[in-house]
Amino acid sequence: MIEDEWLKLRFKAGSLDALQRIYQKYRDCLLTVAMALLNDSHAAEDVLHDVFVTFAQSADRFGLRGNLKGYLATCVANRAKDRLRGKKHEPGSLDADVALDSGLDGPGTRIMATEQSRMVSEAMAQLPNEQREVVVLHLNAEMTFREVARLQSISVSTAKGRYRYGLEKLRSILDGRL
Amino acid sequence: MRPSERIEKIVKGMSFKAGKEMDGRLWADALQATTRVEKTRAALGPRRIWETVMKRKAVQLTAAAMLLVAALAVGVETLRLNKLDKAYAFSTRIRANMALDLDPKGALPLAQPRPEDFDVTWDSEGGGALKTMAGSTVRILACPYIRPDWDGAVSWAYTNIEKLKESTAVRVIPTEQNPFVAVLTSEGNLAVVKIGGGTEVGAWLSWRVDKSTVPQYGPVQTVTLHFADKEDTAPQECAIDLDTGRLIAIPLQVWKSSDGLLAWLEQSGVDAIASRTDGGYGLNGVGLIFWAWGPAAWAGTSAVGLRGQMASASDQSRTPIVFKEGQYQSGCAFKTREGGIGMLQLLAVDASRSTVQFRYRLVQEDLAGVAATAAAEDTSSEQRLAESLHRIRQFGLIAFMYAEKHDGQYASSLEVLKEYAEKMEQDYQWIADNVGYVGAGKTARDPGSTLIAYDKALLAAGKGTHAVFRDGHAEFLTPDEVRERGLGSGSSGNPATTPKPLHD
Repeated sequence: MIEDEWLKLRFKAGSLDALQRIYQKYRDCLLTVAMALLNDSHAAEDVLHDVFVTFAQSADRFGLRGNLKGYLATCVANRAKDRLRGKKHEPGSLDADVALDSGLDGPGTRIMATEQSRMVSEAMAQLPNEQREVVVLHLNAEMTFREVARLQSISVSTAKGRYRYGLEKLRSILDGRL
Repeated sequence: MRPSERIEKIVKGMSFKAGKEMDGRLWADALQATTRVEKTRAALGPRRIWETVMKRKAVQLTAAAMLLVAALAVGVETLRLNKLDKAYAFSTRIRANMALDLDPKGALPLAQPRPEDFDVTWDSEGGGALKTMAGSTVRILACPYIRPDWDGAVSWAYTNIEKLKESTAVRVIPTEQNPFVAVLTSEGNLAVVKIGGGTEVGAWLSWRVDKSTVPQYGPVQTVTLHFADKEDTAPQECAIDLDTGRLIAIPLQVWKSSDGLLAWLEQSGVDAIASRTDGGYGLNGVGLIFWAWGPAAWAGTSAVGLRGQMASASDQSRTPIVFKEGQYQSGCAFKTREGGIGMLQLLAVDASRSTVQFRYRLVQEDLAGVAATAAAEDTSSEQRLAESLHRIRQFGLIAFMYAEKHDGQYASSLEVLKEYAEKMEQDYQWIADNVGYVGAGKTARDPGSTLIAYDKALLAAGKGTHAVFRDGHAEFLTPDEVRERGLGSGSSGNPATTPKPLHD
């Protein structure tokens, strides 16, 4: 957290090193969030691309006081929501661009994942968007329910309810598979 | 370890890593973006001077005219523009006494900005407020909804556009609960503005601009088509261009030249063909995008909502829309190749005469009075379906709220939920008359697909019903699904209450 405060200050001052460190530090976490929300490698890459490009352009007006990881995850969630809105009723599917993580990063590989991650992501795709968002942002982006509730414009108890609904459904989908 | 903890651990363990290819591209683009910003900043050097000068109140007051011009340069620099079909989305930080033009072209630098181009300014009085420019024709109105989402705020703005036109308000103080404001801009566009982090110094504004004409449904067209038949020596009208309502017969020679059939259909503007398939009788789309939204969709979907959902739809459907005998027919949202958006519903199939009858209506702009006509054409049955879905979904929430406060245990009867219904401003009488409650004895640990309640009055009509489940989702159950679950057979529901019949 202290490192994040330092990174924010340096980023605001225009440090490319700070930007690079932020990128390296949160790239995979944000990619996981995007994949969990979209279950589509191309869409997840697009979302991550848009978020980092916009973030990189915002240095001079960047005035975040809170949690940097939560802020970036919120940006990813908002972009993902926009994409999902355009493709409602049609959950995406994992594709060949997600390679199983064997420790070898092949030249054509765009996204690496374990088999379990792929299964969880596919299960996630079966949750309603709002439940999926709460589960992912709370567990993977480590956002508090209060932060998620603010993002979704709902009360904290509703966010907790969605979280519980989401976990229950995931359990019923994944039971016996993992 | 509790089951929920195990799932939490599994989800936390999920990990996707960017491969070298993606990593390289992402970083390169981020780096390029910072370089672009540096160049822009250098080009906009004078802006810093304006900002410094304008911080002095005396200068602000005496240089009002110059401020307007200067403010545009300040305002446009940080705008982010996304094309959202017909609407535009922007965001920027507005500072005290800065003037801003909300219209799309105003969000980009103008060669010769004029004072009347500007719509709003930020007033530092009273903690900060969005204010219309003095003497302008701009109208402003605060959205009273508590924390609505964007779609909700836009829908509210459209439905209150007449109120907006008559609004005499000149400033709106945003709150965390009510951050949305509707603005009728100097160019007559409708801008829905979200205000964040407002202080005396300034605020963040995000806004969408759309035409100020309210999308509404056009008249309902009821159409009968003959099933397409390649052997028919005297071809009958079996296809339709939904945009124009034109019925089309497919000539024999076209049927016979199977290679050219699709091209002919597209050139002729055909959107759908009446067809017989293994799945049943119905309509097949030709380059048509459609989604079945359930029986409540015909009456329960607003034109604004439908346009919002379908505007960016792009994937064509390959399965036909099939008539389901003895059931409520789903409302199908559709989008034609020409971009026409509407709702379609099958009405009847006459196998002996080889016909299918359906109705549809298109979303159109600026049709004063048409919405009322169209609404009047909805029968009480369809209104009832739409109401059923809304109410049963609300009931699911009430039942869930109760369980939340009682260690995950659902209520033992409907009566104990009365207090919760009233707290959530729901009509308990409707619940008592219509809801078949089967949540007694169930807990929040039961599977999400556990049935909690259904609309027993709707069920009495024998064509299926709406039901709500433990995970909060509501859906329509067909008569077969109702039978499978044993609903209405006396084994569940509230036997003490007699279902109220549904009048068609």
